[in-house]
Amino acid sequence: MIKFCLRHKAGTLLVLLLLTATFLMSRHSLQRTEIEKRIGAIFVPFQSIMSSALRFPGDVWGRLSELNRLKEENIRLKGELRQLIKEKEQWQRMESENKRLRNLLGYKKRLPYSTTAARIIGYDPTNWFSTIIIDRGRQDRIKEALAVVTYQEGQEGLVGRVISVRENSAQVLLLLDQNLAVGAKVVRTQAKGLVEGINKRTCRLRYLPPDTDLTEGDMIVTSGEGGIFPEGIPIGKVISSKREAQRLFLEAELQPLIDFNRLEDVLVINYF
Amino acid sequence: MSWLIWITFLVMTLALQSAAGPHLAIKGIKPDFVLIAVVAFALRKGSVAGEVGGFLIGLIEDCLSFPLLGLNGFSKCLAGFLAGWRQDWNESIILQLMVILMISIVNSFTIVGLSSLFLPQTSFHPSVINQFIIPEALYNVSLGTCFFLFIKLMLKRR
Repeated sequence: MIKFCLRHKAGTLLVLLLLTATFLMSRHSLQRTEIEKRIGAIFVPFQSIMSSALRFPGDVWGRLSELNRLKEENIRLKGELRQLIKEKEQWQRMESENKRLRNLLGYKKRLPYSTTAARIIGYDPTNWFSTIIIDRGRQDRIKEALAVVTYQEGQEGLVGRVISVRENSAQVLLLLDQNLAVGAKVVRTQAKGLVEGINKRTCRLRYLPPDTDLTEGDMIVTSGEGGIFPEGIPIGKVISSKREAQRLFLEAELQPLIDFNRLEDVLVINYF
Repeated sequence: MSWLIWITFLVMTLALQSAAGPHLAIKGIKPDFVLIAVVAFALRKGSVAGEVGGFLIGLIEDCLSFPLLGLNGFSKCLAGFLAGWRQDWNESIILQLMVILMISIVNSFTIVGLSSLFLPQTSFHPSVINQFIIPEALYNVSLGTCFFLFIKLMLKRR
């Protein structure tokens, strides 16, 4: 028997081990024995090490995924921010336009003349002339030589005169152009002269009587002479004055009340 | 590999099984790293070492698993014995994988049979073969490929 067992060492050992295992199983109970608990407890550190080791790449991967997610979110949020900024700018532009148009409408109602509101759709491309193109033309009963005014930030002012009319648009010669001359007067003294453009941001008031009392800040308005511009439309304020070379007249430099660089909407005076 | 390295390998495999097994489950089927390690051990060291190693590691597994002490001891002991039965099985990786496939199936049947025997509430149903035993065996074979290539690489270095 012993010889057999020694010859078949593996088989004998197998039977013994299987019998041991079967014996252990036969003593099965849901309650763990103290030895089982201790073996389990001994193994806990190994489990812990392995668990940490396995969690590490998972954590790294998780963080990388989080980083990718954050990157995507960042791109998305930047896109949304750009969109919101765009919308905000659009909203501000619309608000500003709304305010401007309301002011213009109020001004239009206050004016004792018949007017047509128009939007500027183009500017003179050269440096030699100061003209604008408006979106109203013959169809809107716009005619040549009509006066153009505007209302800008609580201030009304003369813009210029229609010089050319097409079907749907018209060209307006601005007050700043040297080809435009407007009969004008000093509000305080009623002294009359002629305002001319000088192709700069300012214009010149000429042919005032040499004894005219003129001070800086004096308001200049249209005199109504010539029949093109109605009387009393504000033109600008005096910034400086001097006598002409021959000392026959007094002349002054005016600051127009309108900022022509920010001109967007105008009123064409149809008749007065 | 020395004995100490093999013992550490088996213990760490059990730790891996306990820590990573649930995460690697595919449709509820977990791979049996311990079985693969026992087979690898037995293929190298023979059936005596295989059955003793399988028995001991199986008992430790029982201490961490459902309290039917001896269940995994029994099945892993048998697996170690069978894997170490023929030394020529160790000659090619294809044979090794075939051994894993067969032993996985035997191991599963052993566990199912012993559970039915010792746990009255457990019953064997033929659908277990398709739903559990075969998929687990195939999963073990696929992971066994990596295992054996890793061991081969380690041995080449030494």
